[in-house]
Amino acid sequence: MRRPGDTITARGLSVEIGQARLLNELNFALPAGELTVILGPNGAGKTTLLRALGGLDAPTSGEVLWSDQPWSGLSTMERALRVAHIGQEAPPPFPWTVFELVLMGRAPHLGLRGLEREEDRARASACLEAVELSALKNRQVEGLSAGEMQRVSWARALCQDTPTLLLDEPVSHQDPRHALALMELLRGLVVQGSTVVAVLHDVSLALRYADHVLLLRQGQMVHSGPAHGLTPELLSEVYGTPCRREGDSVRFEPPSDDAGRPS
Amino acid sequence: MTRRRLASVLAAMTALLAAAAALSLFTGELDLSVARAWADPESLDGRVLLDHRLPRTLLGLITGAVLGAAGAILQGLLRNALADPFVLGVSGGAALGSAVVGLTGLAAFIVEPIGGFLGALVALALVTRIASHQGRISPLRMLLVGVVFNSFAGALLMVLQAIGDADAVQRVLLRLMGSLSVDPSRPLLLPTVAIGATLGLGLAMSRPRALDLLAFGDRTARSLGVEPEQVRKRAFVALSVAIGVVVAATGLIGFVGLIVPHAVRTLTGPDHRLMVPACALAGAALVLTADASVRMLAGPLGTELPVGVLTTGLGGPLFLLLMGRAARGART
Repeated sequence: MRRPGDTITARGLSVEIGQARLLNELNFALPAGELTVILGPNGAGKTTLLRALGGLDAPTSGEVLWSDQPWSGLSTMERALRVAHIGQEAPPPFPWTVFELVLMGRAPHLGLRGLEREEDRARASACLEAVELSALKNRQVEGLSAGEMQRVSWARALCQDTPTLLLDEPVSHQDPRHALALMELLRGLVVQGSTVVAVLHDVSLALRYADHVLLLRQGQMVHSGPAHGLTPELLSEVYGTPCRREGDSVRFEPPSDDAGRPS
Repeated sequence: MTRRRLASVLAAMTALLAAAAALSLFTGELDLSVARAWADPESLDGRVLLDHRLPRTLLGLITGAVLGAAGAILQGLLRNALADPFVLGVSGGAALGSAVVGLTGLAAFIVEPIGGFLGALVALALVTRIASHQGRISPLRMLLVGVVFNSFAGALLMVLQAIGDADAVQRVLLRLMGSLSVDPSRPLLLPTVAIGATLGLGLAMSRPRALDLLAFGDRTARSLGVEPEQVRKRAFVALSVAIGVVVAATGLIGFVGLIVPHAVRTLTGPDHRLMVPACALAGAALVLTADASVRMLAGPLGTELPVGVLTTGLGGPLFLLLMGRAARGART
């Protein structure tokens, strides 16, 4: 059984880079054991928020609490045992194989001197299996496609065995079959008690899988609540283009001249 | 990385190093007999072995281990397979620092390594500070800053040469050309180098997994439990100690930190838990072999070349080859 995931709370959370205020005084609580999706147009601050919640970048002001504990009070290693991340990352400068890269997910459990045990290797193999990469196990990561590389990141994050996952556009390079399989995998983790927070661009995918939605626009929070609270009117306004909602799927239309063109 | 693979590769490297050490001990003008040296340590064989060959072999071993491992660690820290203490100007900074101290009259050997350490640290701080842009270190800028810093250090050394006391200049600057011969009148040299190198390298090598995690960028490293800035600062200081004391004792033995990691990585793969200690062993073997080679060449050439000439002769072309390959599309 997995350890239960954390509740993540933001209090007055702001992030500034230079003159730009990327996040402006956000206050919300993301429920434990649910799948939260962060939505919003380009430049809304989704990635910035995810990084601030996980402690990858420090906020300018305000604080982040994980199950009512100040997140800034934990060491980097303690955090790595509580949360795994998937996001954009630099290609490695050295010739690692897929399996070696996935094994790095075990680092928080082994420390910086430890060698992997047999159970760590078995865990890494199982995670590769879960994202359909077993066939590429011994390939060098350099030759992989963007979609394969993204699933290597998935396998590494799963191998970290954390109760909470923070994912930045985790299916952006996947074909429909893989995207849905990975979302189902997330759903399975949530059913077992994990907390998952994902930034997604595909609004329909978000509505289909999200328990909770956080909608951002220009660093401000527009909506935080159950997915069914996202009305077509709200989405049209935030994304600046008309849309219709049909069940779980949302269809956006090209902006017309008179309404909602992004300025 | 399994325990078995770690043990077998390191055992093979240790055997290689033992062969190189034997070569180093038994290469030279005198055809040495261990039996005679053992029977009578005061015999000519005994004195040559204990006063000259053994210290030289030990210094070569330490120097090679430091330069080989430092190259591997710098490449991991800076995410750049072209990083090397010599190329980045770290060795140059150490040479300048130790020369300044050596020439200003504070010439007891005990202070020269401190000058070397400070010089190395300043060089590393400059290279990484100037080459970083928005929190990322640009590989190209880093190499350029290293080149410029090296010529700057070279110019300052010439100034020192011009204004310094002739005897001191001769003594200090000759050493900077890269030689492993140990002056028997300086009994503190070897212990100082051994202690500094062991402490520095020990600290720099103590968390090898951090180097693996850093390869994917600072945020990914952080998400896996490593605080990048902390790892880099610690390693920079530790490496400066190790490189500083070695360069203060041997001068510039260039490109060992480039040649060794490049060769070792093809054998071991990129995992730093294996690769860094393997580079220390292989670096020691390379420097000892190169030093034995210059002594063998001393006969036909009529004079002994500094060992740094040989390693730079090998490393320079390799650097250009790697640079060319990087320019053709592979990553630096």
